[in-house]
Amino acid sequence: MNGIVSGGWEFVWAAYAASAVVLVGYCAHIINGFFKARVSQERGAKGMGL
Amino acid sequence: MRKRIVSPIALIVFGALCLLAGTYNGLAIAPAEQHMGDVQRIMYIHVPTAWAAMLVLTWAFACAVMYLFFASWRWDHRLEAAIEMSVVLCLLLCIQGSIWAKPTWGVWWDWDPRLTTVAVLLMAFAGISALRHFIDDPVKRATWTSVATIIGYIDVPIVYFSVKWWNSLHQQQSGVSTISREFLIPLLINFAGMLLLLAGAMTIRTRTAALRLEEEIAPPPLRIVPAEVMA
Repeated sequence: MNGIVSGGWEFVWAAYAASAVVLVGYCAHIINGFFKARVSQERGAKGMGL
Repeated sequence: MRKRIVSPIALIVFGALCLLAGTYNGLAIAPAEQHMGDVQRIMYIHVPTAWAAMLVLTWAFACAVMYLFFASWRWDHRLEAAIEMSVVLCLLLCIQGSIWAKPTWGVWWDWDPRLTTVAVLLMAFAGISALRHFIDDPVKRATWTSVATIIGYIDVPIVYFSVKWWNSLHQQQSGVSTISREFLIPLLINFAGMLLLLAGAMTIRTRTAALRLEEEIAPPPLRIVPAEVMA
């Protein structure tokens, strides 16, 4: 034990992989949510005869 | 009005490219730190996430105040996007911090002031996000979540100053003057990427909130009824 951390690349990869999964997953979720909301709103507008 | 999301998607793509460039710089080009070695490379994603989270939380606070002052739906849509993004970023901060804590502190989690206050922030904004789903009346929903956001934001300065006020395992904030140039380059590239990604994602989420509200408050569809039925 000399107070210096050695190795640890697996933790580095894990942190970046977790960040990528969360950010990509969230972006995909909001883009999908947008298109769903737009389709639903357009269907509603057609129903009102607009 | 038909809403489009080409520009925000382009922002997300540019943000992702910046993040890839910053990550490559941080993992392959920047040297290892003297004491923490390669594990310190987690900083290049953890610190930009923390800066982005503080920025989004402050934006959420500003949107909540603006909604209460002007009662404009635009501010409520922005608030909805900011609350959701705050939850995502606080969750990400906890995950990255936990992964960094294990090799450096020897534990995945510690009830240290900085970690605890961030966990409180995550719970508070997750609660506010859930609150939005439970209130049917759009006006009440916007007002209550604005008030809750302002109350929740009280924790943000506590998170920031926690490492100065209390004896914390978490290190104090470093400034531009205390970080070597080699470490600063990937940090700033990743922060720029985070900002672009946030701008794009929050624009899309704001437009989705607007579409959902338009649908929610639209009058029911007209039904064509024969004249004899009307009589």
